[in-house]
Amino acid sequence: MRKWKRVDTADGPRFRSALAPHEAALLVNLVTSLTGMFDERESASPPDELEQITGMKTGNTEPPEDATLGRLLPDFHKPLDDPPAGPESAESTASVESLNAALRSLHEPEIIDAKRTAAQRVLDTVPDGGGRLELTEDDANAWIAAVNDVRLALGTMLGVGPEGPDRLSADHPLAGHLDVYQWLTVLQEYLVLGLLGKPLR
Amino acid sequence: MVASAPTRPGTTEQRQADPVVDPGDVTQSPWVTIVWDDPVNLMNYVAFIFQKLFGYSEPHATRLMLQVHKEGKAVVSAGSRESMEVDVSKLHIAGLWATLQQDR
Repeated sequence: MRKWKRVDTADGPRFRSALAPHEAALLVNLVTSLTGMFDERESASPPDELEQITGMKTGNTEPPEDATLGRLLPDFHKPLDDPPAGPESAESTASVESLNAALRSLHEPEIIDAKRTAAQRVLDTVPDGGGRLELTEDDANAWIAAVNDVRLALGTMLGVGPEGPDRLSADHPLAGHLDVYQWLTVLQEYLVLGLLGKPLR
Repeated sequence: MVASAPTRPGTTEQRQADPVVDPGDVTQSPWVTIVWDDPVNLMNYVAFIFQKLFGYSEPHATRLMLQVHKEGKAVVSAGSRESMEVDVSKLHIAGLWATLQQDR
């Protein structure tokens, strides 16, 4: 991964870097899988008569069963750590669940839309076959969001913990994923520094 | 979160850093948005998102980010339930692990 160079122009900052051919292909693959996950999730939401009348999208009420998608689309309300004992317990758990279902149904469509828009912007700006690229500030913001989603997905698959990803032996089936995760971490770190206007060493 | 370099002020407007209670709704506890620590999000990214989404100054955003990192969570905004739903949605869009709850 090359560093990002921030160039301030009359039309706002531009962020320049370059991708090797295999890096560009990898990024396109990863971000395309991400949009695939979002499409699949969206098509799983139940059809709704009200939606057909009002045109307002209603989303899923249940959290994703898959842990990876679950990290990308978390609940709005945390389950109680220490629910009160006795009959009140079941009641408060049920109320958290119903609040989560309502908030998810209301907000998940817009969250998926925003994530997919960012992902599409990356796909539209990755140079075909690698090479140099120049991003506007909006593009760069889309890149850090979409790259972060890919890192969250890979991090969940790799079981990244507080001490960071475990080292994997070269023949481990997920060793390649770990390399990609670390490459994206560097890409994102430097692009955030660029957006903050930090000098890039 | 993952260690990274400290951050610099954003250019966005400053938003009130302290919890704000809707004056028309003083009888009810306000709602808060909480961000939880997670092992994937980069420290500089989290502080940048706080600056960008909430217009917080760099020192305030960095303080909140460090609180999330060290204590496992931090209250990042407070207000009506509807405005906390908006804040949690924006944080989820950015990939942060955020929840809302009534402040008791």
